[in-house]
Amino acid sequence: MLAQATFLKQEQRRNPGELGVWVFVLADMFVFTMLFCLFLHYRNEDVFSFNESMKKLNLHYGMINTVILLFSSWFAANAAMAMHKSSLRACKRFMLLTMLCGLSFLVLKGFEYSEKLSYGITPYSNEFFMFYYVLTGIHLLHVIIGIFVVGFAWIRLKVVGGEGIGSVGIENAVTYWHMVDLLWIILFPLLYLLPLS
Amino acid sequence: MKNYIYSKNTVVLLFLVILTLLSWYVGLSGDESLKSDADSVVMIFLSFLKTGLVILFFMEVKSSKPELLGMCGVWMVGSCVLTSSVLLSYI
Repeated sequence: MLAQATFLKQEQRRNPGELGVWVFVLADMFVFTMLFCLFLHYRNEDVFSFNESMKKLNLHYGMINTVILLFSSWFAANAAMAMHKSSLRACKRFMLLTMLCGLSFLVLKGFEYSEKLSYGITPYSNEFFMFYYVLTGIHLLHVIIGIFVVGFAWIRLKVVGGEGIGSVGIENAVTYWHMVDLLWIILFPLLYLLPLS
Repeated sequence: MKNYIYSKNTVVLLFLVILTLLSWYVGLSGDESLKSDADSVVMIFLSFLKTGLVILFFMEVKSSKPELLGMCGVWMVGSCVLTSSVLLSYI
């Protein structure tokens, strides 16, 4: 009885979104894992320089961006939940909030980049900042694509309605968005918090 | 709207925010006694714990088929072990 209440039966289990999206998301996350390891490998070769460079980053920007993306993921999860409940109005509202969080992330990242560039810190400054710009730049590209993906799903939901796009369409967009959040969750401590000893 | 606010996902979100603020506080603190290589590994472990929560609850992998659950688990555990090993190789 307890086992029945705790674990879902095989037939009750279903994958959110399409398999192709999950293959893409997992492949992308494995590629990022390699980039994280590459970053840590170079850090190990010159810990002092990396730690000194890390101190030049603004921790507050990193923390606020993390919280923004966590909230965006919560909104995205609620959008999928609303779609399951056939509450299209709530779904559209949560998708808009997800995009708004994404745009806030872009604005804040813009401020952070301009602050760094005004101090003369560029990707050519040293190895740490090369990694900083490349890793955050690739992630930023993912955020921009994510805003378009969620925006496209939102427009389709508005134009063709819930039956037109279906819950799988929303789940695909939401799954991509969660990946954007996942990658930042790892990037934040790697770039901003690791200069410990 | 209340249904969405009073849900399991909100508890997960609060937990994630608290973990983020905690790591931010440790990173911000000038107290060197709080900072060691072991803490670096703990911080990486905590961030992978956060990704696990997002995958299970927000991405609904908790109720997905075992194959997907397994693949996500492989990524999470594999990445955590890999990054921690590379970090620890310096020590």
